[in-house]
Amino acid sequence: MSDQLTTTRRYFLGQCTGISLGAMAAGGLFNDAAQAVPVRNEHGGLLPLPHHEPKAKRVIYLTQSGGPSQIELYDHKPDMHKWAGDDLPEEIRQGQRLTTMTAGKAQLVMPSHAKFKQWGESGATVSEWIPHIGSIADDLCFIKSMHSEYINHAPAMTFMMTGSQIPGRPSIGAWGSYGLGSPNRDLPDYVVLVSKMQRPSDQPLYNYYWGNGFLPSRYQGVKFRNASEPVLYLEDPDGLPREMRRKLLDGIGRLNSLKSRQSGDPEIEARTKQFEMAYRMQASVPELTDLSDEPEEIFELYGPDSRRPGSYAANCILARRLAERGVRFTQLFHPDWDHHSRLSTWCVARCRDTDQATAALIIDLKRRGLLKDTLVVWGGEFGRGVAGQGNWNTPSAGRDHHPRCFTYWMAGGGVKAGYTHGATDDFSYNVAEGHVHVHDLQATILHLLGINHEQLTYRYQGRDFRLTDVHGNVVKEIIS
Amino acid sequence: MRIFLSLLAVTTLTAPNLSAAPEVSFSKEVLPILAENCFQCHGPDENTREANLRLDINEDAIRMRDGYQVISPGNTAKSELINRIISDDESIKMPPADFDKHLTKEEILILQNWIANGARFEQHWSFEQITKPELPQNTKKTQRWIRNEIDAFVGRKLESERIKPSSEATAATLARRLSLDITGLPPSPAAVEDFIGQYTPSDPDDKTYLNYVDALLASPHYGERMAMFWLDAARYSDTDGYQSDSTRSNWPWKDWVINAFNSNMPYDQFTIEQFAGDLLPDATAEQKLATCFHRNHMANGEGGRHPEESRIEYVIDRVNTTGTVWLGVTLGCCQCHSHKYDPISHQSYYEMFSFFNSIDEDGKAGGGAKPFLNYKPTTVAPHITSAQKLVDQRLEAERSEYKLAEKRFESWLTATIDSLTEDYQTWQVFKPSSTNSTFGTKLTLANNGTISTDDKNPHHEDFQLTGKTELSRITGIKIEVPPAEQNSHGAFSRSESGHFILTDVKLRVVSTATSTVRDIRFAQAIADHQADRGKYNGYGLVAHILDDDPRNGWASFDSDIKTTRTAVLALETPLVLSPEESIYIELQQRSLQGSHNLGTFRILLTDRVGKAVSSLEKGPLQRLTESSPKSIEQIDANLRNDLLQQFLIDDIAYQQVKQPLSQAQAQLNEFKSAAGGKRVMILSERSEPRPSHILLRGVWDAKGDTVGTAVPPVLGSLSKDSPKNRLGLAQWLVNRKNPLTSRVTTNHIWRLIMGKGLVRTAEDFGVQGELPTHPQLLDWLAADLMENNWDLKQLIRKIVTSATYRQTSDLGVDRHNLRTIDPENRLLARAERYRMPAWMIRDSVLQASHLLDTTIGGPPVRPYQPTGVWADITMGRFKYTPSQGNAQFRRTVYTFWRRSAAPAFLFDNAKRRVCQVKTPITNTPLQALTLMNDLTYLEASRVLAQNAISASKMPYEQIEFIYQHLLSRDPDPAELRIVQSQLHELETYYHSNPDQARRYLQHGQPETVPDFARKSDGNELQQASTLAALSSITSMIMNLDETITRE
Repeated sequence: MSDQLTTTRRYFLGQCTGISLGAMAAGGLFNDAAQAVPVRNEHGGLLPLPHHEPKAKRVIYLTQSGGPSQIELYDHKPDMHKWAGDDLPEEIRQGQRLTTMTAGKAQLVMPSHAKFKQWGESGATVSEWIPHIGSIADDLCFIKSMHSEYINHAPAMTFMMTGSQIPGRPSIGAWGSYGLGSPNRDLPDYVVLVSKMQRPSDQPLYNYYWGNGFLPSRYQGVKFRNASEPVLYLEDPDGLPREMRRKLLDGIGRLNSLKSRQSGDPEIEARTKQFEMAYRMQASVPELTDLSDEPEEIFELYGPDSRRPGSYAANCILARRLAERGVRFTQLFHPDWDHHSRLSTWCVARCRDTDQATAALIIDLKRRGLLKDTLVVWGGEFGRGVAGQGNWNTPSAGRDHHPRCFTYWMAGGGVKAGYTHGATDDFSYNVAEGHVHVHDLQATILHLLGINHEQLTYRYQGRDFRLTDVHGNVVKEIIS
Repeated sequence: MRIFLSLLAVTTLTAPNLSAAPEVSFSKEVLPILAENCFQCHGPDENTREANLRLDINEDAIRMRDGYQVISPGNTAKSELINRIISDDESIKMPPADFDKHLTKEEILILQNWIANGARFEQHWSFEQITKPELPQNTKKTQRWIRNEIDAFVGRKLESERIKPSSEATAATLARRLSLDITGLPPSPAAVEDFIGQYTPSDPDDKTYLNYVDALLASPHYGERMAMFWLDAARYSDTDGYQSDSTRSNWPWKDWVINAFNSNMPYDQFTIEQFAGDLLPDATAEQKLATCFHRNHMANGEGGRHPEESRIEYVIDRVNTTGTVWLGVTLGCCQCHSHKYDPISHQSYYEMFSFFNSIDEDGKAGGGAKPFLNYKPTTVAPHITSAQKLVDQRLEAERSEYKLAEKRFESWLTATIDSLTEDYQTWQVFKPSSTNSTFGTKLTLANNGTISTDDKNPHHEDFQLTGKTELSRITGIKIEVPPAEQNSHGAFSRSESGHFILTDVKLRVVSTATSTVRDIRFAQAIADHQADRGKYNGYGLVAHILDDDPRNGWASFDSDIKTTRTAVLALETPLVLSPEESIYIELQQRSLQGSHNLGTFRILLTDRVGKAVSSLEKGPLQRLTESSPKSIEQIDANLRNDLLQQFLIDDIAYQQVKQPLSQAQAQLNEFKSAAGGKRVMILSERSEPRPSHILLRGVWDAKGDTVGTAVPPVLGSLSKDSPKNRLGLAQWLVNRKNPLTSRVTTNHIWRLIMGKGLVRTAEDFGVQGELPTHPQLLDWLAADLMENNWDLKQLIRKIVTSATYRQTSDLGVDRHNLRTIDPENRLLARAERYRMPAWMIRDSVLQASHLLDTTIGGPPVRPYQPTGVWADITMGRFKYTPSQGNAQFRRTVYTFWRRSAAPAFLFDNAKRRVCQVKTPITNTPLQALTLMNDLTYLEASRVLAQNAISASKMPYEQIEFIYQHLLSRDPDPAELRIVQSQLHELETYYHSNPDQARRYLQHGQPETVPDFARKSDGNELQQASTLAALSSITSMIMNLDETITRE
């Protein structure tokens, strides 16, 4: 017990000073929630978490990187064709900033390239390009009034993930894992899955999008690679079978414990534990990522692409497996939504990658009774503008970035189903009602996890940082 | 939690004084309480100020307000501050309930005592000028322990806490500690032995110890060790970061840094040259090079980015970096508003900004990131020599294997001529067993394998073909599109023009044994005709069928419609199918134009490599069949060569020497090009200075009032004779009157050597930062540093020769209570024990195995990383090839740093996106995996095991050898027993599994793999098994806590 107290005390001091976070990891990367949370609470210091009864125990964040077009996918504007090819009215545009790609060019209204349809009892309008998502509209909670401050990819995505446009702050998943830990001791608290694409993406996915920032590195998202080795350095070297690895670890354990008696440093036992956890991970990660035990009907549900490891669809199945194993925060990234041109073929291609599997994930979670306490979030870093980029009247046209309004949706853990929050003006250019700023979205996600976003803070360089900076309001309207 | 911390500082460190007298220190006790609980609304930031009250300024806090005072000096009862704090009335209580801050009883008592004593306001401690304190008086007992001034201060504190310092660490530990701290490398066993033999702690002139220290300080590895710290602080990287992440060639600056530390350049000069080397009279190229420090920030080349926004970001980065590295003040807050805690205003921030605002830059990245210095590095020559040697060596191996391969080729050729059948075809027709389409086109398969479509011709369509082949492997796919009657104009497609577009082709393996499929990658595609894509909406090039992008593809426009169109796609690696597997080919037409579907087509497969899949000519083997030679001699020379080249690609033994040769040759070229002039990003002023504005809320184009150039008034001002530019700023930073630079620098060095700073918040000396554990000691050392002309080596010498430094870090049974009394080691009653940084662990094992290349300076190199780490993160834009030969074994400081994918093996390192002077040490399973499985450690453990075997035949001596090299000591008997028993088990395993042993020995550079590990006769197998067992045991010892820990 005395060891544990010391550990906890040092741990807790570490939060204040940022120094010597080593001992804290005695509890392991994979905190046993049943153990860790009371210990933290007992000292009353860091956080009495959860701050309130959580509605969601875990999050699956389906990040669509590049800025999917709300005008083609969700934000139906049936009257827009009336203004097709007209200059965007100045009272709408209000001199807003453009990227240097379209600044100084005429802003001519380009109606949606996609047709829309009403779905389900809620009658939500969803694009015909994503019929599967349309078919589950009654399970979704749309936020049509999202807005951001940044118009370029990296700053906007950094902002969406970390609450600041400058890289270096902890990501939302890292905050969640820092605050809540995870009930699974053999898998990371925060797992990141990036779709394997053939085409080099124009917007790289930086690992600081799921980084720990100034939080201890155990809270960073662990990216599972689409390689034979899903986690870096996971595989034992050729010529060293697992039973020999076991013997070497036994040797490490025995020698370390001799040393521990001599030096009295609790860090030594902690180190041995990390090696043991590494050993367990070598088994648990391949078991997780091997989809061969999934029945045929699952692949049929998630669509043909789900048979291809590394695809977005296969990652959706993995996300469900992670949810089943209690992993706190799973984040998928699907790149290449940056459709400056050729919307009708390019955007359609990304819809095809994602539509069926996204819907299947919701259906699958629901069937297994997991949807009620799993929060699924869909969205990108910003939306796209109403003006055509290139010749608006040709199929070559695309759209420029647009942070002033875009659509997100959520499903499951604690949000209203078949509900739409907020609206944009006739041009899908400005938010007309129910503003939801990026910090509001972040505050809401944390709220659903039982976290008060104003109270989850970390002292760094003389300041108490939090995900939502000094902003953010929980969007109460969408909570069930 | 925060309250608890200040409480801890008070009770643990000053409680004895507190109980002696109610006199309290404003800066050390009162200010932290006010800052923590009050300044958010009643501090320096005018925008968040409430009730028009400042508690950071004397005049405002005590002035009369409607008949009352917030603070009434000498009168606690009349001070509204106290009344509000102790009030039970929620409506007036301070801090307000929703602010979530609560004062403890002890804190309230401190405030009461302070007011009772007259409420004297003082400057925050770190903003006061540094005066060298008198040395404290120590007890006799302490005096016997003291070795230098440091100990006098530390000893005084320990006396007051009635705690004894720890005993001195063992000589072996000291030898290792000093070597790691000063050079970042472990000592050689010989050096340890010498030191142990000669060192006596009671030696009055301490000669052995001093000589040992001086030798380390004189080692050129000292500069490398210090540079690693400096590069993190300088956010040094070899690439820009952000989207394009272009490569820079700023590494000559890194050499400058190493050299500056090694030549012990005074820190004031070190500062001035990096801030303003270009502004010095008759600036040398090296002085200009030094200014690259302030160009190491990220640079954003993202399309659509406003360059001015980027430029402003760079200027801001320089201000913040200056704040963190020199001043220990978080200036970043003031970018958007006045500081909430420290007396630095929004305006002051932009006055600092102004120093860096007129650089001749324009916010561009990559090749446009002027200003540049054309600099010819002088450190490349030894690397070229070494790379050349490696090429020669590998060339020799390649030549001799080539001769053997030629012989194998001849016997193969003879056998092939004999077995040739007359109708041999390089390409075999693929007849799918099932055909499908996404949008309903019906496909008909003819006997000759040609597939025709019905007349549906939808807007978009994908054709899916599944089937088996008799070939034993597949190396390429050929797509033939013949003209046919059914198509428009008798051409290729039912599109209006008769031409086709193929946007993408996919190849997969499907299996009856699993539900999942495998993606198969192509290396390249070629075709007999490609349309001009500029003319046809981007459709033309055949390479585009491989990129999964419907916006481009292969098209037949403008080709002769009477000739079959042909494309050949080569696989990245040959594909071998198991009996339950089939191939699946998908041809997609998802073009913008639509409807340009293939009308008729045929798929063929081959198992040949080389020209067969890289040209459209007939394959060499088919040409051979057609020429039907009777003997080898009759074969035409060209054909023979084509056949040989094809053969060599498949010859595994030859490829095993050929590929390393190609990599070595590529490396040689890389180094040769590095020796030419390099463009290094530096500072220089533009002719027309830019006006500087306050940027409202920190937004780049929200310009407020114009500001001049100045330093924050609370920290002083530029001296009158200083120029009002970067040079003046640098001179001010290192001026004797500057209260911060010397303290902050001393603290950096103390932290590097002692593990933790005297100020634990190394990056924050402001009001929110922690107080020094030994304020007088910090000031004494800071003053001493300046008196000694900013001599860093002298400062380090002072620290490491102290008795404080020499204490043991062990908390054995008798010292166990120290961990409870002082868990954070704030009293310095023992040495710090902590895991070495990842770079130091890597360098240490390279040193221990004698693999380390000790050359100082030079171009960046690429240590081993798992395959695909760059490609993964950058979606295939960058590929990582590990360095070859000695270049693989250079110190980590020379590692190429890609900002978007920092080296995977450097856990816990600063990320080098923004300045970072301190990173937390953590302990995760991912680190354990790295140490267990990273190639660097596998190779080093094998080489060290080999060295041990060469040194002795006796297993226990081999284990001793390994301990001496990795841990700088001998194993004790208990350890020896454990290691021997593990070794025995591993030996048993490998002796009965020699094939596993051989495989375990193949990791790393070909030159480090012993010959016997490549052969398979009895004696050599025996040797291999023995080495494999000892190698794995060495890797086990490498993974011990003690090996990776500085004790």
